[in-house]
Amino acid sequence: MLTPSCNIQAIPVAPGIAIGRVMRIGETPREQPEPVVLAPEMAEPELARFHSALEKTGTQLAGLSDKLKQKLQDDEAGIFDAHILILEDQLLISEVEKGIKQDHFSAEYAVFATIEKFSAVFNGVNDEYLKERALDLRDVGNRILDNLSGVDVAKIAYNEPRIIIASNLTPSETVGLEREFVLGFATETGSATSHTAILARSLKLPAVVGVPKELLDKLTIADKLIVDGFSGKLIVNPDRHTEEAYLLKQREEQKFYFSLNEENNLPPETSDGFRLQLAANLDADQDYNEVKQTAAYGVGLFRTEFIFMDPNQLPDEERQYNIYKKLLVAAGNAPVTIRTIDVGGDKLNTAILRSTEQNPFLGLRGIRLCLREQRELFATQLRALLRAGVHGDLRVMLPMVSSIFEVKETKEIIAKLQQDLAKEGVPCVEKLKLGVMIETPVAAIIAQQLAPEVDFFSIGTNDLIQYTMAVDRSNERVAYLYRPTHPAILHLIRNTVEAAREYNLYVSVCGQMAESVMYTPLLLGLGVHELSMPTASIPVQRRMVRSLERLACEELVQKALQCSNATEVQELVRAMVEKCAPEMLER
Amino acid sequence: MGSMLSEKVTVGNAMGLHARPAAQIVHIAGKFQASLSIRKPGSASAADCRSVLALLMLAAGSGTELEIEASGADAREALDAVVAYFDKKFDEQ
Repeated sequence: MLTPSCNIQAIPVAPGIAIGRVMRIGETPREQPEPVVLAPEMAEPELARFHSALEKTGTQLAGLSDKLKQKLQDDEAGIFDAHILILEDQLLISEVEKGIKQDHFSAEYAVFATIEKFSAVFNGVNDEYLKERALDLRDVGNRILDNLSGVDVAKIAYNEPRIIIASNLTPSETVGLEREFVLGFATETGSATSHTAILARSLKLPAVVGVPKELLDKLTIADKLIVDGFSGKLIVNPDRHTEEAYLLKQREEQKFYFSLNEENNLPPETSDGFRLQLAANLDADQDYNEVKQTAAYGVGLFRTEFIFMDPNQLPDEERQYNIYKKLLVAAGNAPVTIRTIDVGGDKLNTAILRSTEQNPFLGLRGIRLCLREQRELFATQLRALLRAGVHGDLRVMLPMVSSIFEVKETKEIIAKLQQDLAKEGVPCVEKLKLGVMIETPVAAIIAQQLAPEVDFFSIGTNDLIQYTMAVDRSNERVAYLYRPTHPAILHLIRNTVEAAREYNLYVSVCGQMAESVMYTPLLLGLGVHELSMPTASIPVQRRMVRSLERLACEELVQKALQCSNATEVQELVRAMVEKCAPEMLER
Repeated sequence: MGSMLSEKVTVGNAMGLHARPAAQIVHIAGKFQASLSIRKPGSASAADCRSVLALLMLAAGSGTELEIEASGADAREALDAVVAYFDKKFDEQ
């Protein structure tokens, strides 16, 4: 039975249009197996079926764990290792065997009843975290049941590309997805910064979030959806007319993106000849080829936190050296900006953080943590960077700087390491290009004083906005106050750029503001040199830069700085984009 | 059987004794000969540290007090290893 045709407004988080049937992942509302009682002689074959399903499940889980370990996501992999132990647990096995042998239940029902029995322990518990533990048991139980029913989940799901629907997507749920069988995403929870959004944008697939649960629960694999990642519209079982209209729009989109890719060889220059460098943000699990394909100007932000995820095994100097060297060699002459460990705030890392804080965003994070509690780890990373630097154009950037002493102290550590390396006769960079992230209001305000100490600035807009506006960026209740176009943000960026100009420093912008084309006129007019963003955004950003005139952007900024609120600024920008790049609106 | 050693611990991490630490305890217990178990004080039954399921079913949330018991050849070392893991709050904040 098809769900009745309907049309709802969700929140767009990744652009594009997807049309296709549904596939649900994550927690599946499944039918409860019937308590089937079989003839006693059926017990043996049922046991055999159960054990073969166990074995199959074990292989699948081990495969998932390996896949994550290859991506260096050892924390996530640990969950699958725990699931394997549950699967092999004698307590579970003998309970199921008892159900089959003594009560003559079908293997399905015996597994179901066992999982229910064990997870019932958690029902009466008040602790929300503990209640979730029942999910681990159910997850394992469901995997066994899937294998018992003989349906290969992957095969059913993937006989055609589908739109993934889920309550929420977690990294462990998406790890098994094959890119070529996914058209787009529609989820209940999430925001522009959630895993769903980040994943969708990195795969260049459309996504919407905020889909009502009642609707998601009703959908079956027979239902067809249209996901409009531009407007946020979600259409269930569209009529022919609507579908054709969207197919047309989809083809136009593809043409648009195709035409963008054609322009990869054109310089990102404004009509009056100013070049705004477009660099890529890269994570440790991404390949440098992605950067090459979009003809980006090297890497503007390489996050290293990923390398430090495994609590049991922090990477030593040699392993880090090899990772950094590989990246620098791949980049050739192009610059590579590597950010030192940025842990704390919302980037929790059990291997590195020593204590819980009331307010981690205002706590010991980034450079603070490195200098106060993790000097050795920090020194090891800097040593690896100093050594790797000889293989390319390396820039090292410090996160969360809020004091000039943090920069001076880091420079002392670097000088000492350089002496050590020289004594040991190990090749290393003699003059390390060092920069700071401007992501706290204090750093933007004392940019004048920081400038003589460093070689470049990189403005991290996500945190700069959050700290300036005093808005927790994960708190939906105050999301309306999180406005990149607020004049206060523009003043801070301008102050940073002016300080940099005086000392001839290079200024880059990373963070979501650099990714969205609607902010490009402002950043260009403010005088930054580079925008760093996910590779997927580079082609459209290149087109945007090429549509703009720098002089006009500077005039726009002069007006914007006089505004009293974000909406006024936004309207000014909108008017300009409407005039010189109308096809960019809504992107 | 040698004498029974026991020690009290508190679950110190926010998420309680969930799947990953339970699996880690199974892993630690596997390194020793001693038999190791964990019980909620006053409870008649104890969870065998070699069963991840039994450990999970302790339903031990943050702040729960537990008693770890060890007996056998290397009971002392085994007990110390598990207690140390609790003291480290399972390597979580």
